[in-house]
Amino acid sequence: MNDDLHAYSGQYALDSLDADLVPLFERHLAECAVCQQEVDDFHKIADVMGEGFDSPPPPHIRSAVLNSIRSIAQEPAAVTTAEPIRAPLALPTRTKHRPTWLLPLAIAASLVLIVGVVRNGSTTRQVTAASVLAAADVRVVELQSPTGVVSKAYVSASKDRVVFSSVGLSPAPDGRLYALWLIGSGKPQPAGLFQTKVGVPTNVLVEGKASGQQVIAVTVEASSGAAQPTTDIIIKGGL
Amino acid sequence: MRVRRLTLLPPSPSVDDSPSAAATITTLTSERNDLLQRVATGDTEAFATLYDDLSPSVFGLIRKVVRDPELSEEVMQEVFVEVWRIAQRFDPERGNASGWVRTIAHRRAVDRVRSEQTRRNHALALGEEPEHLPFDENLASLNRQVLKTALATLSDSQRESIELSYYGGLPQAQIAELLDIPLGTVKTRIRDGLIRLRDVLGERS
Repeated sequence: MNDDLHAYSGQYALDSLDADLVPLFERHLAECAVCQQEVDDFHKIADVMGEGFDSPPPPHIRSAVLNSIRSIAQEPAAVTTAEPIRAPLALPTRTKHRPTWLLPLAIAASLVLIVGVVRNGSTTRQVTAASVLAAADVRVVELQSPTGVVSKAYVSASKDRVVFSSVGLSPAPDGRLYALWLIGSGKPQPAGLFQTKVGVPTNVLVEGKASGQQVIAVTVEASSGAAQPTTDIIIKGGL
Repeated sequence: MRVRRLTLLPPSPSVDDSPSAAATITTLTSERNDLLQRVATGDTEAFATLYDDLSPSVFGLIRKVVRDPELSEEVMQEVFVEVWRIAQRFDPERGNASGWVRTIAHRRAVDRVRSEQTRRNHALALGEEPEHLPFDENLASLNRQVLKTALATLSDSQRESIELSYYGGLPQAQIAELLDIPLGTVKTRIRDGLIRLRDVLGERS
């Protein structure tokens, strides 16, 4: 069976693998170094095959595109540089099929989206982690973290939101997630859950407004979340 | 199995390439990377510049795959909106901006072709000759010109399987039918052909 799957590396790299075979091959790809290498190499060949057919688009496309991006929010780079397994290229995610090796990115991205979107309920002008990071008034706060972990909070008053960013935080054990807390004048408020991936920086849009909050903290909680911290705070800092 | 790393980019000039031409290519690559990284910060001016720079090559590739001019225009818009949306995922360490954008374009184009399958089946059934955009050597990198030569060294069914996959976006059943080869051999032809291309291209780097 694996020999069979292996033979699909070429079609996969050319974006031409039949849709029903993509998930099957991607599961194999995640574990097969030879296929990863082949997909990487074949992808470079594919890219060169795509060169040299220049054809200027009609001018109205340009204005249509430039107009439409003004109302389209940019997605945060949940994963920036590090990659847990050797990945082919900095591939953009596909609408239909996400390669398995992009799963960490997908998970991270969906966490960010869950955190960012569900509370807002709006799909048009959502505040994203990226928009907070890119805000003109963003300020950075270093947080107290365990040895080997660097954590920061990015606070934007204009967006009224906080982005939590961390590098080197080991994944929470099975069935557990990291929980963010915002502490103002009252009790700590739950501010979202997240998981980390070895070697991958975490950027999470913290749930809730930044205004009125004095402290951000992180604990480990059951993956269903908690109403208030039930374990020791491992990361904290004043906002 | 021999596993070798294939390095194609940045373009490595051959002996007869003038140093200035090579320098220009390198500058362009890094300038585009910078532009895309500025796009990732929400810079709409950088986005417009990147669009002006890349749109002919991107649209050409989309036309090559999608063929229908109106559908191609729709895909073109989708592609650049996606470039804007996910620009932060671009990592210059692992690819160059134009290749990254073309990757998005090719996937979107293939997705579109496949969702328009009924129409295309019809066109193929009618024996309609698909539009063939001319390949312009002046616009292609040295890699592309070497690849063109390398493609000619493949067996007909290897080359045709690869071209129908990449430029035609065709599923393997259609390729098997068009080339009159068993369904199970399509994947092998494609992979064997690509391995051969890798070897030919690898020899010069």
